[in-house]
Amino acid sequence: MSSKVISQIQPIFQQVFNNSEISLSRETTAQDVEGWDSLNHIRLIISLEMELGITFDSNEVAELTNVGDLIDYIESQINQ
Amino acid sequence: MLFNSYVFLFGFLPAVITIFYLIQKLNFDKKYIILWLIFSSLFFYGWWNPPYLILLISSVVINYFFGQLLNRQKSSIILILSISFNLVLLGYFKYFNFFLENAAYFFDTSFNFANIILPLAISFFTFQQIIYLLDSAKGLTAKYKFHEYALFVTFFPQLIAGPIVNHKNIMPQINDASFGCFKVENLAVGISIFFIGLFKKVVIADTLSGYVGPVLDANEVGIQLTYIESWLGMIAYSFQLYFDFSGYSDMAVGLARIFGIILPVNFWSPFRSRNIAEFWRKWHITLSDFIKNYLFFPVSMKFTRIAMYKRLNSVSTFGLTVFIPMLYAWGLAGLWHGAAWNFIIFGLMHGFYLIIYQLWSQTSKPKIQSKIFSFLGNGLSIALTYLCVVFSWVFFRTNSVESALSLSKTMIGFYGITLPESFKAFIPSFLSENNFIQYGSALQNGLLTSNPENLIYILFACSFIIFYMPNIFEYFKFHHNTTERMDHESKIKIYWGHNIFSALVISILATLAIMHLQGESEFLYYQF
Repeated sequence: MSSKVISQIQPIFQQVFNNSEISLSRETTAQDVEGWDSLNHIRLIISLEMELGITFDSNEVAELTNVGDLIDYIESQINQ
Repeated sequence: MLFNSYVFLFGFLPAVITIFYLIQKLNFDKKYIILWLIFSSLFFYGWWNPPYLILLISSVVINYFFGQLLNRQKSSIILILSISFNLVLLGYFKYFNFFLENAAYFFDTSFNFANIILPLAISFFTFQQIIYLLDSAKGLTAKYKFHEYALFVTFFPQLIAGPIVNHKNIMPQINDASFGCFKVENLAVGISIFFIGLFKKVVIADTLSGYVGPVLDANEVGIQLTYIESWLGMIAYSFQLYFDFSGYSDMAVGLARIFGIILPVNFWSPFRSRNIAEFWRKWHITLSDFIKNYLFFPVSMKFTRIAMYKRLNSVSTFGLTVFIPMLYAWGLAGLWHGAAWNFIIFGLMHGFYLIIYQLWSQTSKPKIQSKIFSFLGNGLSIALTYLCVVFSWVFFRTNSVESALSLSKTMIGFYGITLPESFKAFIPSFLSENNFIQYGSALQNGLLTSNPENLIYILFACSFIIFYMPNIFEYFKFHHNTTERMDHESKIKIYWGHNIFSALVISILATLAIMHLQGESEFLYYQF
């Protein structure tokens, strides 16, 4: 399940951070990706919303600063 | 009660600690430890103004009740009602007179001002409880017991001036089975951190305050400062504010640790920041997290959605997703600091700084950025960031917009620049040709002349601490676990440990601090 989501979100990361070399794992954190600051975080979240057809809760996005937590959140939304 | 008072240090604190350990020695239930800490915290708060205890207690009881209701019934009406309850209280006690003042000015009339004393801590416990309510509406706080919740809000180390704690962080620690168990490590580390904070406050900040006060108060009553005086005054103030507020936060962290609670990191060597965004990740971290998560994110997310779905051009997108949310969030953040236009301007200045920083980081290519950084070096970017912050603090320190503007103008050189004769050799002569720079008595008001060279030595000593010494969390790296870890390892690597050297350092700092306790100087952040 996780790997499927990773393969879905990797191209979105590459596009938002404008870097085709980004390769994600569950352990990737905001520190590992250049440019992953608060503002790009929002752009990332909304891009994920558009591509995956889910919505993020604005009070919870702040905590989703690593790929593992993002995947868990996305999966919980898709399964709902 | 103030942390830096005899009654706190030699009466209240020893009594609270002794009975805290006694309760568990006698094998009483953990509940009694929690009740004892709540009682102590209420006593600590009530020492200042007993009637306001009613406000604190009713706020805790009503919010807990609202929260539990929300857990059972996800109703947006109850949520709005409960948050409004908090905002109305805050609005009345903190902003009512400010509102009247502005309404009177606007309608060109006068009102009778209500005699309202700002209840200590209200800005802090309001925020903490609003976060609790928001999470209650998601059903996240259903298991909270009342006495544990009451301790989370009233816990005296963080009650008055933060750090702003999140229930998600503190409640599990209170609920943990190990809470209340005696650990020598907690006592040793907690007291050591506390005394470092006390030293920062009473030895460094209060000494600086003696220099800052006369200069900036003179500006307040309309005395024209000289160029050098204005800069020395504001630089000294910036250091005072840092040592005062970070000293307070250290004391809070240390006190909480004595009782086994780890508070969040509030300062991480902020003056070493290379840009303004980094500064706010390191200065008053718990406040900027609140601003980001609960003011900026919700608005910016809504607007980003609109901009991306409608495929707006880059200028409109920037305006909608950065400009508007940034000014909104930081204008409110300024107002949070106090009910005055000065604070709103202070907040907006930081909003603009952050917008400019975003503009620069979004438009320039990373390669160009790194080239410019390697050319300028970290030193210049640190200096530029510091200058922006000091300028904004002019509005923070002065009491009116007029005196803030006059001080800013003096610092920019509007009223001429007078340097000491000894500088003449280093300054290009064309600058003094049209009297832009003059030479003479740079401290002609005599505000600093009692011993101005001492101030220079003190500022150098402070700079050394700020730029080279490890911060509290680096120093206690192996004995105080926080979840946050940031970069910027300090150049001087020394660590606290169970050894003679650490004991000696802490004893010296503690002795100096206690010797310096003179009168009771309030913390700058108490007024917020």
